[in-house]
Amino acid sequence: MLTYDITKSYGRSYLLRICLLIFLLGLVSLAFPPNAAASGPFFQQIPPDSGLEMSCNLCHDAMPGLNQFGKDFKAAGNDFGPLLGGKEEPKDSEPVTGGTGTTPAPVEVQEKLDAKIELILPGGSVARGEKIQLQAKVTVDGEPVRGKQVQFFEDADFFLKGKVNLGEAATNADGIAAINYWPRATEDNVSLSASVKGDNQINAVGTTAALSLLVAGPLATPAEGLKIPFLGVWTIGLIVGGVWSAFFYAGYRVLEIRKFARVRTQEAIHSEEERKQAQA
Amino acid sequence: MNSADRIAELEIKVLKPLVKPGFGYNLVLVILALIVAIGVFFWFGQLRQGLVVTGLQNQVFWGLYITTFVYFIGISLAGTLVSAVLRLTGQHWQTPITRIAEIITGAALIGAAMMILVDMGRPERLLNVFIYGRIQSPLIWDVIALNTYLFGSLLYLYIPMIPDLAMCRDRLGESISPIRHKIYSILALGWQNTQEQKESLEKAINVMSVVIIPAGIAVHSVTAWLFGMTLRYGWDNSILAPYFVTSAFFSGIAMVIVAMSIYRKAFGLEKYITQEVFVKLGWLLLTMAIVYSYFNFSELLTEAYKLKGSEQAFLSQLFNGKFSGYFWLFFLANILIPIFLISWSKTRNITGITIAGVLIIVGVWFKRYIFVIPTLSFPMTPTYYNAAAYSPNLAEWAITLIGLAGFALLIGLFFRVVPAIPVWEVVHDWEKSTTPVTDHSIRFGAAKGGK
Repeated sequence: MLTYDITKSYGRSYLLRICLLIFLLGLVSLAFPPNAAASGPFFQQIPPDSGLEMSCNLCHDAMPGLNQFGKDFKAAGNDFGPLLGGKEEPKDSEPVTGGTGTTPAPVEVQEKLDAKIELILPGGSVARGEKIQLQAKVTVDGEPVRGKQVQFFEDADFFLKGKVNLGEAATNADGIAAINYWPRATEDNVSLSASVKGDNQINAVGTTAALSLLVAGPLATPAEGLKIPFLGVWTIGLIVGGVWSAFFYAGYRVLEIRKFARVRTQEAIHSEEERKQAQA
Repeated sequence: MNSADRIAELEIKVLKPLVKPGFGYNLVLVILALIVAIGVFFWFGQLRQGLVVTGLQNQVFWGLYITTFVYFIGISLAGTLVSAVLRLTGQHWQTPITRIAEIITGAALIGAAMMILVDMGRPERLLNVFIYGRIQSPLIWDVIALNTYLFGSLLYLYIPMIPDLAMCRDRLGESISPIRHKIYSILALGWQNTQEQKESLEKAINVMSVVIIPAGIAVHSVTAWLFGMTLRYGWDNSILAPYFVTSAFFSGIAMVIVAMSIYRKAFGLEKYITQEVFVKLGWLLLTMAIVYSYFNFSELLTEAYKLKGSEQAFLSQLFNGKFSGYFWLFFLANILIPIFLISWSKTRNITGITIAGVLIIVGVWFKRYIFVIPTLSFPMTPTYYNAAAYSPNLAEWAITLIGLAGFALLIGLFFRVVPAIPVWEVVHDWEKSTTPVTDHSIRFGAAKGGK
């Protein structure tokens, strides 16, 4: 018989623990949810220091339609250069969207003041998937503040809680910044927030508000297709259900192993008790 | 050496790495974990800034992530073929490598799911796939098939492991931590090797062996239909589903060969994973290589003969255009050299077959790349403008490595805690070879008289 005894200790691996620790650190970092946004090919070409809004709204109203800036960009041969040269300041009466001038203008505030921000949402409920405009008004002592970058967020609560960055825009002369928004949340209410970062003029400030959504049925309507006798969604359900039933049957047989082990253990205890009683 | 010594020697061989795997093995695990950690770091960057950090664009919206997803899906068929199909057909030469094949399946499917998650860009919206998904969409078919196959594969990995987990519980004793011992005890389900338990295990394995095959084929077919249901050059092809299944068997076998070659050396299992196993898998690989070549030829000939629409320009990209390097590399690494290495008797040995396996698992990835990218790079709409060519950047490569290194890491960690060889099955085969087949045979194959 071989004498090698596997039960003797061969030492422990610390390298493996380091490896597991790295994994754990990775999992812990999941507790800090980031913001995210998708973008198209020209998005990457937006000059970062140009003051243009880093958002889809720069060129689009509703995908894939172009706004005026998008049309100008296309007419310029998909080149930002000519547009940057002739960029105009936004009209005072319009909220600054579509990248038309996000360069902060000097604010008539000499000291660092406490600003207020108010999120202005459409009244009543809005339909899911329908474009609306999110507006935020920034004021100091009731007076609008111009040229402040306002960031808009939607609260997400799946896997982890966090904020989805919806975009940002600068306030106009009325102190209003606005972005376009298409609510797509599955809940009846969406929690939105807007915030302004602090600078040498005002302190950071933020606010939240709830947007009520109408449940307007499915987002897509199935088109008519071929009708094949005896074939439908139920066929897929039957096949998939059959496979999963087989899985569960196999799982049931596996659990029987545990049941047999318990029965065997009880029998052993019982016979041991009987043996002791017989001895007594 | 008598039977008891033989079994004891096998147990020592397979249990030793669970207690003392060696410095080199642990070092490899740490390096893989570091690569994964770097990838995770880049992934958080992508989550923070969006898919803009990748080289993906409006035209080429599927890049490295989906290439690697399709690659993993292909690899995952290894367990189904080597374990289930060969079990049911009464083959027993593959018994020592069934666990390697099954964990490759599980790890590859987890890697595939990971690639989908990173490709989504917004993984917190995953639930929307189930809430708003339409059954008419092949994407939903893929979600259903992938989840079904993943669950089934993990179950199929676990069930034959139960007696070996009981062996770990009983034999490793104080050489492992109490927590680990407790986990072995829980997972072993009180296995005592009784007749009733063997019968339950036999039934469960037989059911899973049968049902996992259609589930595996379904997931590969549905992945093919993801592409085949579109009207794009290179994908608009009715042969795509069987082509994917063949390709999956092909790459899956290659991955099993490479994995068993590594573990054979690393754990000193030369006595159990013999040259015979390599040669038989080599023949299977050769068969699949020929069938795969036939499908490739058939697909390309059908498209190249008609040249409908802009197919001439599309195919020229592959044969002598900007993707020709990848295409001819695939042709050499996946078709010509492996067929030569396995056909020629002088190279039909462990080294030659392993080299063929390595070439195939690398070449298949390039094949996936030139399957996904050229089609998407080809202009299909009037609004197409001459956007820059797709080129994966550092972030994309790093994030893709989460899947590739993570796949190897999962397998490495798994064999750190579970025997690489299914001891009870090997012992059972030894016993079968010296005793007549009984009604309680653990395998269909044995009942049919297979060896």
